[in-house]
Amino acid sequence: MPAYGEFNQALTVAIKRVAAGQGSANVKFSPHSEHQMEARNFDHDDVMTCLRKGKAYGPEMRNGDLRANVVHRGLHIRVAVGGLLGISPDWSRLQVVVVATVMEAE
Amino acid sequence: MNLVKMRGAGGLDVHLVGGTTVEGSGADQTVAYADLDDLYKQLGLAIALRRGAMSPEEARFLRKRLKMTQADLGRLGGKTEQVAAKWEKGTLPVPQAEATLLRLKWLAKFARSHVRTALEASGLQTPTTGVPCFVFKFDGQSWRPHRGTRAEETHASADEGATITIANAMASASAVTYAVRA
Repeated sequence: MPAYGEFNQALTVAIKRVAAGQGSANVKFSPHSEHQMEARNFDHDDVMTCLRKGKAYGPEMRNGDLRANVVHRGLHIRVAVGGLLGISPDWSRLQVVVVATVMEAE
Repeated sequence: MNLVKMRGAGGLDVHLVGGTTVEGSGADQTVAYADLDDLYKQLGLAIALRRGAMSPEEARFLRKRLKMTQADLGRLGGKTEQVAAKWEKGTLPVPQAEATLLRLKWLAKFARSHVRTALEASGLQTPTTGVPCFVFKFDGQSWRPHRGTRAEETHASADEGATITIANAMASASAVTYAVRA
C-alpha cells in the first residue's frame, strides 16, 4: 500500500467528474500549490491531467483538513487535494476540489 | 484594468483579464481559472506564433504539450538530451532552427491552420528584446490574447508594483499580443 493511503475508486471517479471538460473552474489552486508547481516544473495542465486520469488514494486527515492524493504515474505527479470535509462517503456530491500541494510521485 | 498574474504556468509570465475567481485571503486564498484547456491552448498559440528568440520556459512549455522528452527535443536538431536540458535551464540559448521546428510541430498538432502563417513569417523574423509576457482576456466563453492600445500601461494586481507595457507587436489578424516589462 502506498504511504499516502488506500486506492479509492469512488473518489477517483468523483474527482475525474469534477475536473472533466471545462470543469477547471471547479478546481481551486492554493498559493502554496502554484508555488510548488513552479518549483517542480509542473503546470496547471499537468495537474488537470492528473485529476482527470490519475488514481485517488485516501482521504486522510491532515492538519485539520481531509485530504486525498491523486497520482498519475505517467507524469510522475502527485496532487494533494482538499475541500473534501463534509462530503458523503460515496463522493457523489463532490462539486469542487482544492489543490493543496503538488509534488513528484514516488 | 485589473490584471491577475497567473502563477504556476511553467515559469511563463502570464497575466489574465477576467476569467479568474479568487476566494479567501492569505494562506487560505484560492484561485480558479475558467477553461484552463483553452487558456493553455491560447498560450501555446501565442508562443508558437511569437517572433524572436525562444525563452527556456517557452521551449519547455511547447515540448511538454507535444509530450516530447528532452531527448526528443535534442534529436530535433541532432543534439543530445543534455544539450536540450541546458536550453530549458537557460544555460544555452535555444537555437533559432530548433525553436522554429518546435513551434511548427506545436502548430501542426494543435493549430494546423496557422502553419502557413508561421512559415511565411519565419523568414522575416524580427528579434524582440526583453522578457516576453503574455496577456489574455476571458470574454465569458473563451480566452483571447488581450490587444491593448500601443503603450497602454497597467498594473498587475497580484504582482505589487509591476508595470507592464502592452504593445501590439503584430497587426495581422493572427497577431499575438505580448507585453514587455517596463
